[in-house]
Amino acid sequence: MNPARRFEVVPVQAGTHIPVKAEPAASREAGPADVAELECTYRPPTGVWGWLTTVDHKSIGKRYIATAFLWFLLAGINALLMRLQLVRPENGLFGPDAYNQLFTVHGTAMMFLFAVPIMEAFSLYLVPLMVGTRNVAYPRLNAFGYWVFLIGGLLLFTSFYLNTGPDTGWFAYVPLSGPQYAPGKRVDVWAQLVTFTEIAALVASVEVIATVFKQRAPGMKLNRIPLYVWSVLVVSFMVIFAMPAVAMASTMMLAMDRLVATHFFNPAEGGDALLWQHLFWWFGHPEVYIMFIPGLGFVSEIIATFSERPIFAYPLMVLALITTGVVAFGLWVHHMFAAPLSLMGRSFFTATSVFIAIPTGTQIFCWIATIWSGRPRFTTPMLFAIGFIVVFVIGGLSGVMIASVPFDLQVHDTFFIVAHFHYVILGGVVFPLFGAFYYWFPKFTGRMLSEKLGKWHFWTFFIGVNATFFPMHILGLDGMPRRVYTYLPETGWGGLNLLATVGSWIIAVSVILFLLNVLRSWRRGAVAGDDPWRAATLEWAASSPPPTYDFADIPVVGSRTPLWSSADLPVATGLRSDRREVLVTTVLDAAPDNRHEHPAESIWPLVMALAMGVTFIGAIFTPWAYVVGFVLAGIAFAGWAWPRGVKPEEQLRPTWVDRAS
Amino acid sequence: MRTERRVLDVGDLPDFVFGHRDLMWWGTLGFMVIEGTTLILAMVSYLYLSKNFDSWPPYGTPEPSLGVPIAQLVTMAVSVPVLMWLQSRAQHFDLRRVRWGLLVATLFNTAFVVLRWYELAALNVKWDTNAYGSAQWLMVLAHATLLLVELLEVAGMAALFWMGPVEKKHFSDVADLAFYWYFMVGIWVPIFVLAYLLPRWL
Repeated sequence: MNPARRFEVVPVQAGTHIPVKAEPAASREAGPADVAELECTYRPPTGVWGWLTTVDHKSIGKRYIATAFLWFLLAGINALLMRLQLVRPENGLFGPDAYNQLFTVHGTAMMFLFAVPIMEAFSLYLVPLMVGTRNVAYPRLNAFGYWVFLIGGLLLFTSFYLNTGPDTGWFAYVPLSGPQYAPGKRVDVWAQLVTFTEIAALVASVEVIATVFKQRAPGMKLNRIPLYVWSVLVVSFMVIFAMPAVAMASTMMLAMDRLVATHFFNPAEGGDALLWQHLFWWFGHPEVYIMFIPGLGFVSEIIATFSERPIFAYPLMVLALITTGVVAFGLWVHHMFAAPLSLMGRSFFTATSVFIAIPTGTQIFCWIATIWSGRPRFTTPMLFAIGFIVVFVIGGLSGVMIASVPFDLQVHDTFFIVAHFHYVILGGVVFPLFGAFYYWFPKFTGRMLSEKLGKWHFWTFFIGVNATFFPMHILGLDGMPRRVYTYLPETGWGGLNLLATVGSWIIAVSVILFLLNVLRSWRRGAVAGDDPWRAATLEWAASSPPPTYDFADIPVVGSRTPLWSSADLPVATGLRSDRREVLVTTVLDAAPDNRHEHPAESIWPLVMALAMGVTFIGAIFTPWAYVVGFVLAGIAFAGWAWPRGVKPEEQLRPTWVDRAS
Repeated sequence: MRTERRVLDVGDLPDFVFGHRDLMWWGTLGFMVIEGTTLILAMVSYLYLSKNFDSWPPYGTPEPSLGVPIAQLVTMAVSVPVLMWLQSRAQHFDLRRVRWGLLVATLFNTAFVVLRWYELAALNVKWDTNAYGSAQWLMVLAHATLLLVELLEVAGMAALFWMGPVEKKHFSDVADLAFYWYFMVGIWVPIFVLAYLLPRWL
C-alpha cells in the first residue's frame, strides 16, 4: 500500500498505534526541525577535548572499529610469525616460551579484542541509523565502554611486547594457568584483560537492547526491523547471559586463586579443574555464535540489497537467529569431550551440536533462494557474502563431524580443530566483516572503496584462507598437535605446513590490499551520495556521512523495506532541536510514547574507565587495588551523575504534577 | 537527499515518564540481569564444589553462625515496604517525603554494609581455608559489591535531593533505585539459604 494514503500530519498521544488514520489538523503548528539549531545543539567541542569527551555513536563506533582492527593486525602479525616458525621441521625462529605467548596472545586478541568487539563496534555505529534514531540509548555508557576496551587492549599488547604475555592458551585451562604451574604475572594479565573486554561487551549489549527496544522509528514494529538489527539484538541477549560466566571465573576465581590463595581450582583443598572448563565454555561456546551471528546479519543486508529483493522468508530467518541464540547455550560441553563426563551428557551435547546446524542451514537456503529469485549484482560486498557461504559451510561441516564424541576424541587438540574453527571464524566473521566494510564504507566516509582493488582483495583473501587452513585438516587427521612449537622431519608434515605458511602470506597481501584501498579511498574515492547501492534500510536515508544528529526529523516506517516502499521519506516532526531529544517508542509496535533528553559530551566516562583501569591492572599485584578502585569509581560516579543544575525545582514542580496526571 | 513528507507530530508527547516507558529503566533492568546471572553462576559453582566433599562444611570446618545473617535478612525485609513507599512518593513528585525517604534508605543501606562485614565473620571460615570457604566468600562478597554500589547511588541521590538542584528526571531515578533495591534484596534470599542454612542442614 502506498504510505502516502495512510498518513496525515497528526499530533500523537503516548502509546498511539501508528499508522494512524487522518484526524483533525494538528493543534500545534508542525514544522520541520530547525537544522541550524540542531547543528548547534549537537556540535561537539573541537580538538583533543572534543575527542576525549565525545558521546556521538558514530565517532565512538568508528574509533572502536579502527581500534579493534588494529588489534586484528597485531594479532595477525603473531599468526604470521607462528606460521613462519612452522614453515619447516625443527625451525629455530622461536623457542617454546615465545611460541606459547605468540599463540596465546593471537587467540586472546582475536577473540576478546577483535571478533566480538568489532561486531559490537559496527552495531554501535549502525543500529541507531538503521532504526531511525539520533544516538544509542546511553551515550555516555557507550563512551565508557570504548575506553575500557582500549585500556584492555593496551594492557595485553604492552605486556606481550614486554615478554609478559599470557602463555597458557586463549582458554587458560587450570591447573596449567593456576599458581602452581604458571608463576609470574602472565596469566593475571590474561585474567584482567578478560575483565576489561567483558565489561565493554556487556555495556554495549545493554545499549543495543535498549536502543532496539525503545528507540525505533515510529511504525518499525518488531516484525519490520532489519535482519541485521535482529542479529545484534539476539547477540546482545547472548552476551548478557554468557559473559558474566567468564568475567566471574577469571576475575573472581582464577585471579583470586593466584592472588589470595583461594582454592576454587585446587583439587588438594576440594577445588575442581573441571569447574573452570564448565564456566569458561558456558561463555566460550555462545561466544562463537556471538561472533558470527552479526556476520549473518551483514550477509542478509548485503544479499538483499544486491539481489534487489527482500530476503526470502523473513520470519524464518528471525526464528533461525533466535533458535541459534538459545541452542548456543546447550552446546558448551562439546568442548570437553576429552574430560570425564557421563555418557548421557555426551549424547545430549552431541545431539544439540548436530541440531544447531539446522537453523544455520535454514538461513543458508534462504539466502540462496533470495539470490536465485533476485537480480544479483556481483559487487565486492556480494562476493564476500558468497565467499562467506562457501567457507562457513565447510567449517560447519567439520563442526558436525567433531560433534561426534569418538571422532572428536581422535582429533582433539590437533590441527583439525584449528582448521575447523578458523573456517568458522574467518568464514563467519571476517568474510562478512570485509563485505560490511565495502558495503557501509560509503556511509562512514561519504566515499566509495575501489571495486577493482576490492575484487583483488576478495580473491587473494579467499585463496589465502583456503591455502592456509585446508591443509590443516589433513595435518590434524595425521596427528599433528596444535600449540607445539615445532615437529620432526620424520613426521612428513613439512610440505603441508609450507603450503599453509605460503597461504598466510597470501592473506597478509590481501589485508595490505584492503588497507591500501581504505587509505586511498578515504581521501580520493568516488563520492558516494546518500544511497549508492539503492538499498532498502533507513541508514541510507541519512546523508553520507550522517550529521551528528543522524536524522533531523525522525523517519516513519510502514514496511520492512522503507526506502523501497516509497520514493519520499515519511517523517515525524516535533522533537525539540534546542536540546538532544530522542523519540522513545513502545517495544512491540514502535508506537510513539515519549521524548527523552540525551546527555551532552562528558569527560567522566573516560575518568570512570581510568578508575577501572587502575583497579584491575592494580589487582594483578595487590587485592587492595579493589579498595582504591572503589574510591576512584565513587569519585567518577559523582562526576558522571553531577546535576547540571539548570532548573530550580520549585519553579517547575506544579507543571510536573500536571504532566504526571 | 530524499524529499521528506511530514506525517506525524510528536511534539505533544510527554518528555518525562516513569517505569518501563522510560529509557533509563531498561538500563537498570539490563544491569540487574547481568548481576543476577553472575550471582546465580556463583551459586551454581558453590553447589558444584559441594560435590567434592563428603560433608558440607568439610570435616573440621565449623558451621556458619546464624545471628547476624538473620538480623540482616530482617533488616532487608523491613526495608522493602519503606522503599515501596519511597517509590510511590517519587512517582507523585512529593519532594519533601522523597528527601526523608532517601535519608532512611541511606541508613538502611549503610546498615546492610555494616551487617555484611559481620556476616563475613559469621561464615566462620576464611577464603583460603578450603574450596568450601572460597565458594562461601565468593557468593557473599559478590553480593556485597551490589550493596556498596547501591550505597553510593542512594547516598548520592540523598545528597542531591537535600542540597542540589532537583530535576524532574531525578524522581524517575529514585523510582528506578527502588526497583533495583528489590532485586538486590530478592537475590540475597537464595544466597542466604545456601551460605548460612545449607551447611547446617547437610
